[in-house]
Amino acid sequence: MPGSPLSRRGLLLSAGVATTYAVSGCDLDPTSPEPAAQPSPDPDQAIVSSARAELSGLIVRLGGSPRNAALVTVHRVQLAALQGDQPTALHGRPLTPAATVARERRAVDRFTRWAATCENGDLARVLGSIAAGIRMQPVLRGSA
Amino acid sequence: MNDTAALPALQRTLAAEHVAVYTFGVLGGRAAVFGDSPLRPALASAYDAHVTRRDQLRLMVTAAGGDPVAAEAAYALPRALTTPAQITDEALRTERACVSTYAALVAATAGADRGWAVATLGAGALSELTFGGPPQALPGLPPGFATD
Repeated sequence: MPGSPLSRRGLLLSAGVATTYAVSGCDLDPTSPEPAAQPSPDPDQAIVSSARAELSGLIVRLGGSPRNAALVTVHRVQLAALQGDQPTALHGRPLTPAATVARERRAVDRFTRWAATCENGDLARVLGSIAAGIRMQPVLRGSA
Repeated sequence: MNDTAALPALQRTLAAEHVAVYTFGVLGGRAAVFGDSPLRPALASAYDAHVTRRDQLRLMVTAAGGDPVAAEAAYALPRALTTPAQITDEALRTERACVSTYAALVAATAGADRGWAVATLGAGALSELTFGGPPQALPGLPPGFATD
């Protein structure tokens, strides 16, 4: 059974993440004596930033090893879902297999927590899906 | 987000679990002829999981002030469900439908209910693997979500 319609652009706009400034009608009225309204802080901004940083860090650290290519592709798709900038320099010190498993498990825990605690429901859906997606990957399936 | 706001999504998820419980019951019966096939315990495990989730959702709907939606007497299934491959395909299709529903439930809930929905979304995604589904980056989201 499909869920309600959801798009990546719609998600981040509704979460207030892609919009740096909220322009009100008053902002466009030169005769208005009132100062431009300040956008209210996005309660999920910190979570989105942390989530993007988590995925970028994984991409950088995993990207140096060909055996992680499929996993890096997964994290790039997940980062794109959050409209994060893709890292291009993969200079991170390669992780051992055990360290890779530990980092992926940590990511699952973090995305699960962020999904449970963020304000925006559609953002929660994406964060929860990312946590589930990481759990599906072979690197964690063979490490139980 | 209060319980009342989540009620329609809880009811939709409960309805999906009614379908899943029915479907896995039928699939388990059809697979009974396959002897020691690993498909049988996989189907039994999935059936038990969906029964547990259905019962939990009934409680959640009631707690949200709703009257839990009842199961239909029967649900339409593909006519050809005689081979292990056909049964496995139907099991995977059912799990995927539930995973999408749980992703929507995550969006509609908050607090403990959302925490449960997130955990169940993950469990459902793992069950997809049991029935031959490939690992995905974004289970439960529309195809192409990351590039739209």
